Amino acid sequence: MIPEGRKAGSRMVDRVSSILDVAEPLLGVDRGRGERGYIRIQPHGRLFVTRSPADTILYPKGHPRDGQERYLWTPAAGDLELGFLKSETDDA
Amino acid sequence: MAATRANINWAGVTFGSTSISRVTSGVFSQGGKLLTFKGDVDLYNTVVANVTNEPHAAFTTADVGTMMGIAPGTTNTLTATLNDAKGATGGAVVFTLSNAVFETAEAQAHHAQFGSVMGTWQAFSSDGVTNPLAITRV
Repeated sequence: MIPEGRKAGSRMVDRVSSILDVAEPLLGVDRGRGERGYIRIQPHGRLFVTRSPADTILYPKGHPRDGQERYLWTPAAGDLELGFLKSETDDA
Repeated sequence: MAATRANINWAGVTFGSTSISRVTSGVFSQGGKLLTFKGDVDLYNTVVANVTNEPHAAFTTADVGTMMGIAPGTTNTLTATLNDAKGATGGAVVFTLSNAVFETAEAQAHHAQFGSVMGTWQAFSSDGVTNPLAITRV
């Protein structure tokens, strides 16, 4: 999660780039292999960035852990929150 | 060539395995909606809250057959690239609408004019809190 306040630039591609420049190294994105960071605008000024546009913050509807967090969130410098995927065997 | 920081023309519009070409217009929307409140002797809203978001998309193309061939209710991923104005590397923005549900296609044609069709999509969130509309750059 990255605060929207980290966006910089007057054009859309500048603002997208300013977020991906922060997120993609953290996500280990290898653009040479066609990988990308995907930005989702979330409420309360947060940007959810992952390596897949299909990733979700919570377990999806119908999942045995429906509605529970998929990530363990850790605060990081720059008001970032780093999400580490929980193991499927972690306690709910 | 440096990116122009301006965008023009859609490319690579796909809905699942269906490629949509001859695109003349496209829209992706966050679909934000506001709920307002006022009471007592208020003349103006005292609360405005965003409690509903309904991301959606629409594309218009001359390829009437392809768009009309998509059945309403079909769910897949809708992807489109908004190109840099001069085709510079790194200047394009890619929109990905996950869980996009094809709503309808409306075709029209006038005498002595090219026909066109507008397809519309709504999207749902798998978990109810994650925005199905994602943005990245090429």
